[in-house]
Amino acid sequence: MKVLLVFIVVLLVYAIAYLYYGKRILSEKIVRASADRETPAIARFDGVDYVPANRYVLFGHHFASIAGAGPIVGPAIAMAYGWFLPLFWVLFGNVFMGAVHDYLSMMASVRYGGISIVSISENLMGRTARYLFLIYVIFTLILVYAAFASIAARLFAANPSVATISILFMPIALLTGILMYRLGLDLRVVTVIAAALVVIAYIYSYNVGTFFGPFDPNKSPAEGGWVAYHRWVLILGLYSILAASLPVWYLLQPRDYINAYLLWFSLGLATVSVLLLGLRDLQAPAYTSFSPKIIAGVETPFWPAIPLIIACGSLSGFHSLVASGTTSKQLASELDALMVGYGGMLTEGALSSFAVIIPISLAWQAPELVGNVIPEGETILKLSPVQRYVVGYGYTVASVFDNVGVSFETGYKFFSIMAALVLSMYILTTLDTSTRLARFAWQELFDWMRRYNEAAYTVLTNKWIASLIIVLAGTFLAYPVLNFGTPEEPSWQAAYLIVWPAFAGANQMLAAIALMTSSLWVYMILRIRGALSALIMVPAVFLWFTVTSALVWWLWKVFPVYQAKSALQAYGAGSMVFFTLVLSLLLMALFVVALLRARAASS
Amino acid sequence: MASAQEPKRMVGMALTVIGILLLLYAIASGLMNGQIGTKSTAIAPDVAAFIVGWFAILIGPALWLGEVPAAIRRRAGRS
Repeated sequence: MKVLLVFIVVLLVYAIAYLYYGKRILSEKIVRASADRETPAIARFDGVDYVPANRYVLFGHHFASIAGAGPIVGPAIAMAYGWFLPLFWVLFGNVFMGAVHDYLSMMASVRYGGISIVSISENLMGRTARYLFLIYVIFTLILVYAAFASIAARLFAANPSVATISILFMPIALLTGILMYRLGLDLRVVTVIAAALVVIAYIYSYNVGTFFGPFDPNKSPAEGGWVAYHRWVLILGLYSILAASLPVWYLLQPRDYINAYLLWFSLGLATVSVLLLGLRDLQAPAYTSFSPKIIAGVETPFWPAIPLIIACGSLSGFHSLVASGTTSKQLASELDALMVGYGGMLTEGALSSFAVIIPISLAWQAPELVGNVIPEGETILKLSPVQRYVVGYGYTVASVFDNVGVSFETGYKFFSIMAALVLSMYILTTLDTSTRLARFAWQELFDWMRRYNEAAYTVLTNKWIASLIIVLAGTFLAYPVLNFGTPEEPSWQAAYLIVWPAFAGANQMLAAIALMTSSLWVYMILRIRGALSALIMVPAVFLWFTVTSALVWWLWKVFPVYQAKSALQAYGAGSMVFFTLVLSLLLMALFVVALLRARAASS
Repeated sequence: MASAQEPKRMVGMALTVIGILLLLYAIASGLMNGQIGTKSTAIAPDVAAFIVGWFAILIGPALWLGEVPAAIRRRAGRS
């Protein structure tokens, strides 16, 4: 299959989806977005969380917050199915589920004064649903925090240059915010200054790594092999508490604005490279097997297990929390929601398609890589998921530059390191955004206390205390380093190996619940009926059924494998997956009851 | 009201200056040594300066220039 053909199909799908489904149907016919309605950022302006933002700045925040490592790692893992099925799931999930729950969560939140999708569920499914949903969200966000803190700490410990650039990026973002908002400099001038500083910081970091103690993953923690990892977990905890409590205009908006440029740059470079290599054939097979061995070495059927593998590139519950959490409070006009919400999610899918799936397919068994990066007789699947992306990206861009006189070796080294550095920028964003969102949910969870004990409510929901509780819980899960091998042949791994399956399952189930809540809002409040209503409700129920089946499959097939390897891993992840299932069943029951009541009332 | 904010601003200003100095020290040390910090268990002064400077620069300007900028107030329709 020619690269150009796949490229054109992907582009066409996204163009039609945005202009027809997003603009004509969702924005104009269902939500009826209007520039005349005042948004919560204006009506409830407080200078901390409710602050109207330029729509390009807000797109940057939303995009950077939802992107993280998810759209890269998930499709890279799913390449074991060949390129067709992952690409299909990214496109299908994006257009009909992911971009829809992002957009509708954002707009429902805007219409309810900026409250989260969780609190909206109370209006639609009752008070019990709201508190169940809140507990579920806090639980999921702690897992998000733990998974990303663990990944970030290991990344920083193993790649000191990544630690340097991640830290240097913060003062640059603060300076950008001050130049933009306080000194009132033109956005274009500020962008040029920020871009120049980021380039200088990249060059510096490329040469100067930050070492925070010994790190040797082959040694046990008792032998001192994980000192740097543990220190980074604690440092990242402190960072998250601080960053999640600072005003959004001060750090979050300018940082994510620069982040978006970086992502645009890396995505643009990949897209142009893919286009220029359009006459080449994809080297990866379109289809390998419906059940290759992916999760824990178990045969992993594409359906229903795919949501446990590809998250953010296709759909993600975390997105709906961002959309109805930080983003909806900064939306200056209802009309901006289409570009920020629906467009942001499509862009993320484009990242998965153009920067991950196609490049990995091109680099599959490239002669330039076999023997040095890829072992002889193997394919790129032999590498870790992050490595697949880094190698695929570096190979694709370097192949283009090779044609204009830059040697392949030089280009490959430069662009593969750039890919790793760009990836690292998003992990910190995910950490402090998840802490901020968990703080919002925590504060909402205890709102009933206000009536009985104002003082206790004030203390418990204080932004510093709330952030501290969330970060402590996440750090407790992220800190341990465990032996996944035997006493004779130890294999020391960071905690995210336990947390990841639980995080993936909880996150995708959250997406299903957010989409169901959004579909109820469309049905009950916007009073949309017939095919338009079904267009949202059918994918919502399909997603819930798929993720529920995937979690049951996990408990049935994967749990016994983990049990044989490590009881701690099995019962740690197993109990979290089981808890997710119970809560989702309860919420589904409440959804059905609410829907039946609404139908009875309208008939 | 302005005087009540004054100590906070002074602390913010001090933290900002300290943060900048610590970061510059760590960056210069990195340029001279080819790395910031060490692989030994003891925490090197330059990596400590890098981390403390990072946090000081995160908090300092927020306390110093703390109030919402006029540009943002205007966008929200506030004077």
